[in-house]
Formats: sequence, structure tokens, C-alpha cells
Amino acid sequence: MDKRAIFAIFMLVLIFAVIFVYEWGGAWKGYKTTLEKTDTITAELLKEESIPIYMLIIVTIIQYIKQSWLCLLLAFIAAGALQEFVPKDKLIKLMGSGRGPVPYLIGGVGGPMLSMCSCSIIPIFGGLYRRGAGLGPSLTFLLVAPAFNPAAVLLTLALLGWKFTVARIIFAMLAGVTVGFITEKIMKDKIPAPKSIHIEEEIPGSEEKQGYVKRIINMFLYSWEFVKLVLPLILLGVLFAGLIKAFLPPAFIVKYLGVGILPIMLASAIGVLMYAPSLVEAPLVRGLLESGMGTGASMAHLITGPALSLPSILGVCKIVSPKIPVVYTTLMWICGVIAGLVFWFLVPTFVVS
Amino acid sequence: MKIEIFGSGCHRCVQVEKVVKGVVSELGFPISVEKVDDIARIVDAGILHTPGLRINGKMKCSGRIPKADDVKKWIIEERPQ
Repeated sequence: MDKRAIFAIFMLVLIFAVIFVYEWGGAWKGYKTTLEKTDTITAELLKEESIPIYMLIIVTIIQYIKQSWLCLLLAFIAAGALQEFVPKDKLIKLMGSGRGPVPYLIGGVGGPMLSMCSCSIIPIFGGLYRRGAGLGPSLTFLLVAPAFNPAAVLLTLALLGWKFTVARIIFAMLAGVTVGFITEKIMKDKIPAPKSIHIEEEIPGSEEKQGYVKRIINMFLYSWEFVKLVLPLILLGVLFAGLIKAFLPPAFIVKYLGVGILPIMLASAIGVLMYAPSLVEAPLVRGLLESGMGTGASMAHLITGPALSLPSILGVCKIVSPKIPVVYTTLMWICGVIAGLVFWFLVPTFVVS
Repeated sequence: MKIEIFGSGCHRCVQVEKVVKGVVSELGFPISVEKVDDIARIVDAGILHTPGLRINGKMKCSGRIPKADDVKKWIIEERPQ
């Protein structure tokens, strides 16, 4: 392993350690965690019946931002570190070689390291598939990467708490690997082998060796780029959450997205089809949860929502035979339903203290 | 001379287009700049990390936003004598 990789791992461990100390260290000492502290604000406000609707929206926005700014800051730094220090081409080569479970594992675990921006996932999927990484592992990458990147994980932790975060990571990995594996088994004999492509390597020497100081500066530059890219989207998500809380009557949400198997199936299907920019799903689901969405339905939506959308399915159709998206979309919907049911069983209610 | 910018339309890809167009108008000789946003074509071109930049069919950079000076250097290198 080269120095770059060791440094990247060290940075990530450090970042995650800081978060865990902050979130759980506080809880051990008997302090309220950020999650508990900020929730009391809306709880108190909601008791007064006559607050105007625009206040509810503004309070929601302020509350969500207060609650997630620290995690977001760390997420941006982590994103920059991944961009600068992870040897992406090596990971891709590793995925392309080998048979058995190894490519799936790299697709599931390494996926989040490869791409931060959801729009760049389809080209990487196409490249992996055409380079002979196998349909299964490529699909695993396509499905797991958006759900499991550090920014999404940290934002889920800040807004939905650790139970949702842990469950989301585990279910997303399991669903991605299962769907990839089954799709490959079903489609193996039905599709022609992919037309392989000539790979143009970047001209050597364009990326000369740089010192660590320079690279850390680069890391922060990437972080800043990421802030510009993602922050408007998150604000949009938070605004939507506020609008949901203000205008969608809780009775309506409880009826269609509340507790039970049908809401879970519906939430999973909405997740499959709806396009939401990455990272919007966490504030959105939080807003829906506060208005009466069931925990199972929320988890189903978190599993299928970021992984799939109609535009992404259409994009994939251009690269592979359209039968494949039909198969993996259906399988992913089923996985979303299963994840929702299991999570509903384990965590029946979302606690806002 | 032909410059192709590969990207499916996200923020970073738009940045690359801006940088390239700026350099091209500064240099002032005939260069065709094409923005490729069709995913099938991006994959066919062998680009993994968008945004990608190709000059005269040669891969110059991918997965990052190049500096204007670099773009200028590449264009001058590729310019037919």
C-alpha cells in the first residue's frame, strides 16, 4: 500500500472519530446531543397553535441547519480528502480483475470512494461494465455508491440519528450486492457480452508528484468545490421539508406513508422513480417523519431513493440492454420493501424528544 | 482543431466548458468546441471520471477542472504547425 492510501485512511478514521466523540461522548456524560437539543425548539413552538405557516418553515430551516452544520462541515472535508487521496484508477482496476466475491465487495465498499457527485456515477458504471468488471459488480457499484458516500452518511446521522444511519448503510450494501448478484445470474445467458472499448489513459506526467502541504491545500479546494455543488441542493431539501411540514396535512401522510405494509411498498416505489439530487433525501425524510411517515416507509425510501431514479434508469438503458434496468429496478424495489419491513420491526417509532 | 468536453451537465462540467471557452476566445484561432452530454458517447470515449477533456482526440484530463493555463498549453501543443 502506498503512502497516499495510508494517509487517506488515517484522515477518514480521524474524521469519523471526531464525530463519534461529539455525538456519543456527549450522550455518555449526560449532556443532550445536538439532536435532542434542537428538537425542543420546534416541539415548544408547535404547542402554540396560532403560529403562522411561514414561521414554521423558517423554524424548520433554522433547526435543520443548526443540527447538521457540524456534520456537513466534516462531510465536505471528507469529500475533499477522498477526491484528493483515493487512488481511483487502482480501485477500478481491482474491480475489473478477479472473480467471485471480491469485485462485489469492492463495488460495495469502494463505490463511495470513487464518486461524490451522483451525475458522475453512470459514466463510471458504463466504464466498469465495458472494461469487463462484470455486470453484477458494476450494478452493485451503481446502486450502493449514492447511498453510502460519506456526505450522505454524515447528513443522515445529523438529521435522522444513528439507528437510521447504521440501518441505511447495512441495507444499502446488502441490497446492492444481492441485486447485482441476482441480476447477473438471471441475465447472464440472455445478453451479449459488452462491446469492449479502447481506454484512453491520461497523458502521463500531467499529474506530477506533489508534496503533502500542496495536497492538503488541494483537498480543501476540492472540499470548497463540493460545498458549491452540494450546499444549494441541501438547502433545497431543507426548504422542501419545511414546505411539507407547513402544507401537507399530517393526516394525508399518515394515510399513504404511515405505518403498515402498503405505505412501505408505496414509499419504495416512489424512491425508485423519483429523482432527488443526492443528499436531499435526508432532510426530506426527516420532514416527512415529523409529519407522520412510518419508520419502515422512511427506510424503504432511503434505500431506493438515492440509488434509483427515472433519469438514471434511462441513462443506464443507453449503455446496457433495457431488460437489465427492468430486472434490477424490480429487485431493488423488493429489497426496499424488505428493508422497510425489517426496520419497522426493529425501530417501530421515530422518537423526537 | 477540435476540443471535446465530456460531462453529463453537472456543475463541474459547466466549469470546464467555461474555462475552455475563455481560453479559446482569448487565443482567437479557429477551434471547434463541442460539449458531449450523451452518456453513451461519454462511455464510448472511455471516460470514467467526468468532466473529461479531449483535444484532437487526445485525452488531456478527466475528473478535475483544469486550470486555464494548462488548457492554453495543451491547445498550443496540439496546434498544427
